[in-house]
Amino acid sequence: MQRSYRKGAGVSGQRGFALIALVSLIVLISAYLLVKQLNAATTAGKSNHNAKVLNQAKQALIGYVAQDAALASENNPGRLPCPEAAANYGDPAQEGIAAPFCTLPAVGRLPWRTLGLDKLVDAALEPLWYVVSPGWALPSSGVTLTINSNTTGQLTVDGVANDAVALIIAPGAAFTVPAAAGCAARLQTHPTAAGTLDLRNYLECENATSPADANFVTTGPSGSFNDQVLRVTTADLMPEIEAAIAVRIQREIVPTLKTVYADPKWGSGISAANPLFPYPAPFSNPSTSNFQGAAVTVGGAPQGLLPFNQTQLCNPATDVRCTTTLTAWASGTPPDVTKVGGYGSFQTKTCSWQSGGDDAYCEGEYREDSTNTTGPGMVISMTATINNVAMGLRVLDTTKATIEAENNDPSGAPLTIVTPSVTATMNSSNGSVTITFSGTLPNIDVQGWDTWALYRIRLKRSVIGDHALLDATTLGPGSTGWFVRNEWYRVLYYAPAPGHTAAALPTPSCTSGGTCLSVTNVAPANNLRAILILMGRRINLAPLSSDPAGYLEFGNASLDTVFERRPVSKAPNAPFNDRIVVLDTN
Amino acid sequence: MSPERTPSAARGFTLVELGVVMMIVALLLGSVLYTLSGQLEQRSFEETRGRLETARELLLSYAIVNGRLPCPATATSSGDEVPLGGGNCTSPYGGFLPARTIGFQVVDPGGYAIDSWQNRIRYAVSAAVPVNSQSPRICRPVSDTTPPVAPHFTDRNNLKFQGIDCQPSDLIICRSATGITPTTCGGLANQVMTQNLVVAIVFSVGKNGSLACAPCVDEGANINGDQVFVSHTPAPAGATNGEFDDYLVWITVGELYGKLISAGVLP
Repeated sequence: MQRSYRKGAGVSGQRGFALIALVSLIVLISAYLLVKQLNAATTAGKSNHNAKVLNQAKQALIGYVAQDAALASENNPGRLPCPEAAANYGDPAQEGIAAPFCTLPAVGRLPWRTLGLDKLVDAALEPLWYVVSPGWALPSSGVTLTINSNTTGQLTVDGVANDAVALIIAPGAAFTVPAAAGCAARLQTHPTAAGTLDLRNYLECENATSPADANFVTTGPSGSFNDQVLRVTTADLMPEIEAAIAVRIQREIVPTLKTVYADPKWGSGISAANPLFPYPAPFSNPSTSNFQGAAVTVGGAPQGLLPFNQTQLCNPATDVRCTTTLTAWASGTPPDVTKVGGYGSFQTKTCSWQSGGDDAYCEGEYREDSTNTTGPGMVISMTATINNVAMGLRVLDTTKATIEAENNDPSGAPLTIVTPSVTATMNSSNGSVTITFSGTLPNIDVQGWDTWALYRIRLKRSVIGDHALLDATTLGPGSTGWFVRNEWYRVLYYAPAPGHTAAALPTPSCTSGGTCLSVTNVAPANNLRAILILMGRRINLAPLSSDPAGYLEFGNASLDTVFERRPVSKAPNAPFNDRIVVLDTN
Repeated sequence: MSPERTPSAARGFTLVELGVVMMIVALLLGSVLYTLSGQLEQRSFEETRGRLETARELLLSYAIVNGRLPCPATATSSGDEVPLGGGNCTSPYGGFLPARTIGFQVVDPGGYAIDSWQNRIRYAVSAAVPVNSQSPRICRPVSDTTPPVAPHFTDRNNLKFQGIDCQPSDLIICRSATGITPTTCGGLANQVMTQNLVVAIVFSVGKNGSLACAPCVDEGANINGDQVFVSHTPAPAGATNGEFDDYLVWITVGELYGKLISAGVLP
């Protein structure tokens, strides 16, 4: 029994070993599969977590930019914050606060505290990183930016140029980066000491170029790359910025714009209640247009670009909007001076164009009127017409009309400056302005002068000057310089009712439901005297062109007297991003 | 008999052997249970975090549909905002998440949203009031002396017409309750962000429910009904400002406006 038992045991032991080996093998294989599966699940989980925090950061960033752009104190609406100041790393009181200025393209940690976020971390518990394109953040003090709907992000992502405005990156854990195509080998370490961060310790491959360039990638060679990158593009950012800009145009630009020609000094029928609006500039490629208004109508109404041309303090050689000769003297009428009242008479009169044709000038001598030695002196007047005033935004600068009188004896009384009264009358149709100014010369007898004296009368062409709205230099709350610097006028479509242009002088008006403009979905729809449309980013990204239909959508693209307001929509089959800004209503 | 008994006796375990085995089993069991309880704790925390995130999303969705944020619920409103329809919230800084108003699913029998420890989720919303006469326009906290008018973020009309340049100016999150006042963190170093970024805070009072700790300095600041809140990593009982296990999430003004703009609600 014992023998046979041992024999049995021996055989059974041998078979058992094979079984154990087999079971171990199965267990090992299934364990491997399980671990692999779990590992894959963990990787997916990590990537999901990263996607979530990256997206939260992106939403907060976009919202922050839009909210900041809406503030009247923001001189560069649409600008992005810089990354966290490098020196703030490791300082609990300062970390997460954006640097005021940064060298662009800037790569650093996300300024979570400036955005109002919690300290978001990726799956490897690393705070997020953030890249800003050149042109979208302030590089240094005193610099201003130009951000409008046509501005592109200048970051090249995965080889696509001008792809992104900003990137938010989950850097992943530090690891030993093996050299691979496009990747430099590096032993990444995450120092805990406060001070400057080396981006190569967090980012890899193209993203880790130091100092940073504008090229970034979202993928890299397996094993050498663990960044998870989320792009912030102009398509993401622009609708939000445009919403803020539409609000600012309504609040900060419209009140000024509608008072440009809303004073009786431009003509007896013009007033704040019956303002006149300048002619629009015929629509052409907004990046190359000269923005000069013209008395033309499209589809029954004058419409096109805002006539945002300049005639002063600009260089025609470098700025196509600049035409220093636009507001020219009407030809055919040489300068002249006439007596319109008072006592006295001209003894001599010499009139000429001076200062290269810019000044209408007369001088000469005038005599006493011996029949009246106590009454008012001779009233003299000059009249001249300046063309193309209603083709832009102009002001009447009465300091450019001067009258002087002087005793004929040079050692006698000093020069007398006469305060002239200036009236301007805008002429129907062609938008020219006739300026008449007059002044009462001193009564020679009252002054105790000789029997005659000298007079000089001068009208400078700059009596019609550029409106303050064209000034790009103003800064701070209440200023309009941001509108000019950021060139938002290039993205504005402008349509005045025909009755409120110079064509309808002397009294600008339109009738509700009749000759006024109409905007569908604006209540009341039919009483609009002038509107602006923030055309927004070109949705199909066609090149800039001279066709307004490439910028406007739905009812606005039909180019007639009826416009349309709709909810802004990114729907791929029916996108709409025109924002109506009402300039004036009946 | 005896030859048979002897092997049987040899096969049996001694008391010592049994003791050792039981000790090992106890140790193993203990470690497993310990890990398990840690896991459960972690799970509860993750679950709470998930619920707070859901609440955040629901609040933003509510804002898109209704053009405003809801007011907090009070202790007697059964999970409805007070007053119904928004406007001047009865308890802007010291109320509960209005679960019924925003459609939050996990609620207690009273109708209030709860975290995974069955404590009610709390909610504070900015009660800043727009001042139209000032340029640039600002939003003023209701604590100012001027009589309160309908605030910005909980009033549909105000939010629409005052627009997106109106920033909140009341809610603020501090790192610690040390040095805080009823309206500020008591210094820049103590604040998590500036005082014009947070429009709403949703938070769980944690496992301890803000009641079990003493002193409850930091946690106390979150339930005292004022506009100043404290958020930091959990601290154990015996920490300087007491145990802290509150978990806060918040909505920034940028997130709110961004969502409302892209939904076409604003401007």
